[in-house]
Amino acid sequence: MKKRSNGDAPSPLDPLERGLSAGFGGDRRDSVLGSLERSTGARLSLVLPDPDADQEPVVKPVGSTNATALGARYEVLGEIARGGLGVVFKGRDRDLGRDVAVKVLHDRFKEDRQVTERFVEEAQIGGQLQHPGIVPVYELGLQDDDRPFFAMKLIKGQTLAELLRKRSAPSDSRPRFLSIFLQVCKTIAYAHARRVVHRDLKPSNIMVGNFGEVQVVDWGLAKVLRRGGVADETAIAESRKKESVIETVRSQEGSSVSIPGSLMGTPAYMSPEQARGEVERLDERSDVFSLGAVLCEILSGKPPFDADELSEVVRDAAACRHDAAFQRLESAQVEKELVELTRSCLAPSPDARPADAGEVAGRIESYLQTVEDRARKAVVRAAELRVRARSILTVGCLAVVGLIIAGGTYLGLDQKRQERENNTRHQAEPALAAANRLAGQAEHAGLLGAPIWQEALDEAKRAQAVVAAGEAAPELKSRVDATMRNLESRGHEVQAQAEKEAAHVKWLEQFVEVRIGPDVLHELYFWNAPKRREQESTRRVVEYEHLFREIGLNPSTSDAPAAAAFFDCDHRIRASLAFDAFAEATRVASLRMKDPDSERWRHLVRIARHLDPDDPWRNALRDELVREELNASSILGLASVTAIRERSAEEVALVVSLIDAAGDIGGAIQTQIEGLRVHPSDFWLNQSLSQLVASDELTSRRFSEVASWACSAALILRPDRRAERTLLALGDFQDGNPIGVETLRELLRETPNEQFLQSTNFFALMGTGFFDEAFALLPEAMKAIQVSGLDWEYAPFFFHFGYTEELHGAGTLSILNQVPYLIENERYDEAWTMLKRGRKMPSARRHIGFPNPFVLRARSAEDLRDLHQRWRACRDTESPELASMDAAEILAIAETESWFHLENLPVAVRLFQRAFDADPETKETFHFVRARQWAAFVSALASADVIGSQRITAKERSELRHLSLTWLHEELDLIERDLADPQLPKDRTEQYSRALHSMHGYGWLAPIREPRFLGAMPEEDAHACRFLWARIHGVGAMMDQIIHR
Amino acid sequence: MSDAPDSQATCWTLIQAAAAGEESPRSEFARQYLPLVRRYLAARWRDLFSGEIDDAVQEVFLACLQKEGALSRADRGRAGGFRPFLFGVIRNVARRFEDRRARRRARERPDADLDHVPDREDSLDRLLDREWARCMMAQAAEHHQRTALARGANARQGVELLRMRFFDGLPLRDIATRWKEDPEKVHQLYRTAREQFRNSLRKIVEFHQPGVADLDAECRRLLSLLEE
Repeated sequence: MKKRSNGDAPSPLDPLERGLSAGFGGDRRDSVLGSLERSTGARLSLVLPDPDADQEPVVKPVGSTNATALGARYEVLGEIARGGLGVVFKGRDRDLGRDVAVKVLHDRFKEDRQVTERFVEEAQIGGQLQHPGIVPVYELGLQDDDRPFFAMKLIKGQTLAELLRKRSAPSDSRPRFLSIFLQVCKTIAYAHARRVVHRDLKPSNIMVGNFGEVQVVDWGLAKVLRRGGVADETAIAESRKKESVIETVRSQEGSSVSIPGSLMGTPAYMSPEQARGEVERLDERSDVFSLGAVLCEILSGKPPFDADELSEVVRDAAACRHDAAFQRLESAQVEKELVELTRSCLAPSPDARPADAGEVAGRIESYLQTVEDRARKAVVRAAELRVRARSILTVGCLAVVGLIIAGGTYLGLDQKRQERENNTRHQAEPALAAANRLAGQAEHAGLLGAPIWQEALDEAKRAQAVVAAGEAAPELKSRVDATMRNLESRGHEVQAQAEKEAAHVKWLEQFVEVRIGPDVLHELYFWNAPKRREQESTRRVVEYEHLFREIGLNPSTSDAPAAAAFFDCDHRIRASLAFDAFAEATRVASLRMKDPDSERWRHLVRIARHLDPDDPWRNALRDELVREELNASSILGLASVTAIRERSAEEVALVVSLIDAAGDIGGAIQTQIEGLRVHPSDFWLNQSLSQLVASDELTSRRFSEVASWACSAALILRPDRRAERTLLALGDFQDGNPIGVETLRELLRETPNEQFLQSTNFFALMGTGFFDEAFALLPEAMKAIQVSGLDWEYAPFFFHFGYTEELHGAGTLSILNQVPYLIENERYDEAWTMLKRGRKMPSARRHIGFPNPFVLRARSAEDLRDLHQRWRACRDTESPELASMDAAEILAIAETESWFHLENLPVAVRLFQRAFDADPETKETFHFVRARQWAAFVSALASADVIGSQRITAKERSELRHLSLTWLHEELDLIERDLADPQLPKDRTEQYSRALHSMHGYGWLAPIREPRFLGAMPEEDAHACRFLWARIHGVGAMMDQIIHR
Repeated sequence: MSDAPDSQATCWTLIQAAAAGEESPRSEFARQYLPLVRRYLAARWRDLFSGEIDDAVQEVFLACLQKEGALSRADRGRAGGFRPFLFGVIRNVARRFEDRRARRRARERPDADLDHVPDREDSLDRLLDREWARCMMAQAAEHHQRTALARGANARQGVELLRMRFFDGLPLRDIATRWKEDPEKVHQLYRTAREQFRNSLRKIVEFHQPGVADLDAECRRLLSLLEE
């Protein structure tokens, strides 16, 4: 047999085949943009400015690791770190123009099946654990030399290890570190809930971003526990002794050295079972031990095992010798609850530890809650202290008098009584002295001394109890009684003042909650900016007024000094800002009125000035607030980076609201980002940033990384907020991430009656091609859709499922297409009446006869009846009636058919084809969209037979797909031609951009876009579909570039 | 170049028309050589001047196409055809940009290192050669596809076969399975398509180097440039 050329083998190529590969683009085939660049000649790259460029990880130049070409998509920019399994590079995604981290398997493990499996498993774990605390994996790929690599989000920030090293003492910023630790626990709890254990938790594997976001990295040792947990693990280990879990060399860093051989993990943070290499025993509780080790370092400054020699560290870890660590904890003046939690996490026996990270998170959360409660009480006690301070002097004088009296009577007592009295005095005097000493300290310590003041009171009560229980000298008794009486007599006054202070604190917290708004996401956020501001401000004004009414204050009528006097407390600055916020909301809300009452918000600002007359920055801001016209640039002048860094979260919120109200959304976003650098844990700043960015972006069906991280951060701070979960899910949906639809489904399961979720789910399910599920939701969704207005995209579905009459009745349909609807239902007289009415309304003219211009030519109900008869005949595409019609009329019938008869879509497609063949110009006819585009949508949907009534063959399906793709390519040709025109107006480009982006979430096109549809079609068809979407993506990127230019 | 290799046209016909300012040849000229120019500059500069690649590409084409520009002075008798001429223009523009950049850096930071300016022109020449070869292959593939359209269904299937083999990276046996064809027949089609591509390559080489003594040797030389 003649020897064949080597066409079967992927390599090596002979010279001509190299030429063929270069000629047919095989040498760059993996890059979408490469392919598009070849086909369009355009350079498709868009790079956004990066405000965090200075926080990027330090990279080393790439050495001889030969990992410089990660497929065609990623370009290697330098080395970030080197670990046991692979090297992490900083890379650039050429297609999307973003920096990423790319982990590549070490060359030496290329042939090692087990290590390769583990490497891939790491990528899969990262890809499947969808949590704000876990770095998302974008893609798993193969290098040219068949080594796997995976690309993930590039994290910017510092490791917890670095942050801990920068402390001057372990007690520094403890609340902040505990808050970070809580987020770590929650992240690991999420992993544990999915049966994943990390097995290498340590501070250097915890990244803290610039905005407070915490992420657990390096899941290279992570393992998915088999069903049944430890017992099954043991069984597996027994059965696979030769294939025990990967043994590898771990990363080396500082003292936390990992060792090669049988150990996995980092000894200083390792559970004893892990240190002994009992791999099969490792489960969630080993992670709990490591969490305890991290907590130990946060509290005491060092991990539990901290010997100089590595071998010693391992020995200590294996034997769980951590007495020294516990001693450090005891001497670090740490609260009892934290010490107990650390001890229980570090228990030698796994059974004695908390069961998983969720339990640790719960205990830390409860501790932090207690601390918060204590802080709140401290504020109340501080108030008590101020009132009582005046009485302390009196109490002191009484004590002196008491001592003099005591001196006079003491000599007259008999010996035994003296002994008993001495005994009582011996016990009571130290308590009384301690009470006086503590009261003095508390007085000098001001607010911070509040807890000491409580201790002083406790001591005084103890003295009183001792006196009451034993025999006491009258002078001692009267001294103690006088002290207590005096305190009691002041009690009511103190209580009243304390309650007032507490009420102020609570009230101010409620004020912040009003700013945050209810936990409901509604369409408000997707309207235009002025409407959003107006609606949001009106809500705030109503709720602020309610809050003021609750405390019996009418700020509109009270004079400024009186209103200011009401808040004469420690929180007067915060109170002044509350008046400012009220003024800002009132101002924006009243703008819609023809004659806005500017005196009202100016009065509120006057009250704020009374409360806070001295701060020049705040008063300059108030000057801006009372101007006739808000001036964005002038307000931005007050919001310099330096100024923002010194301002409280409330002040940042106010300035952001003002910039937004002045119409500069970009400036508001930038200021918010600056504010978040200083207040990363402020919920409102995160929440409103995500909403502000998303409100602009979701309408164009895109969701940026800024909106995503702000929303994620807000969710970390308040994980139960459904509004932010919904927003994030919507963003994911728009990004084409399947987790978006998953989350929307989950949210709807939780609250099945929430209308916004019903309609959102319907649109998301339609958009991703889950048609049956969407149709099942339609009865509920319709209620919300009626409220929100009919979306033309899916109107044919509403007609098909018989909701037309409801929409017609509700008036929602009136501006769209009542006439054709009535005609289709043979209600010619009503249609004629409606048509006559519509003709008098020029603005409705385009819609009233939609989609058939011939309807508009009718002169009577009879004409409409005749017209309808003609259309009906044309459902048979062989009908002679068609021969007498021109292209425009056939097109009109095709559109009517697609609009009102989803079960007949293939017929509609044939009619479209016939119209286009008769006159290609009809393709450009524009109703809601261009006729050719609508025909492409119809054809794509027809190919999937979603209604289940078409019974088309596989060949017909393929033809319908092909038609759809052809028409869409023609649309793209047209767009590209227009884009080449330098005179093309920007709004036209933006319009094109929106149209293209919308295709990504457009249900009609799901059958030629969604992977599960593509998987079910012949490979050639699927390839053609993928190529179309790559082209759409490329043209979209090109348009973005033009727009941003 | 849509039908140039099939007629008696050469690259100089196109160049002459482009240099004379005719719109269509200018566009065709830019379409043919833009990927080559861009890829060469991107490879030469990596990330260092990435922001300036667009400007440099523009400058190359400006140098070539402006009235009485470089193209109008091109020497047709020069050995190697149009290739060395184009390379000269690209190199000059690239060096001009590098010099400008180096001077700017030196002004900003007198002690700035100038390591970033490429100094190994010979390796860059190889790069340019390879890019030229890739450009020729792309044009040959394009020519092959165009001629296949006229040749009929079999030839078109041959083009599709080459596309699936080299763009999609599929082995012939997989293609045969997908097409439900006898593998032997697919191999036969593959051999024919290869030969047709080789012929297209000859046409393209002839187009760019009219009158070259040994066409096959020049094709082999071009193919050898693609070796890593």
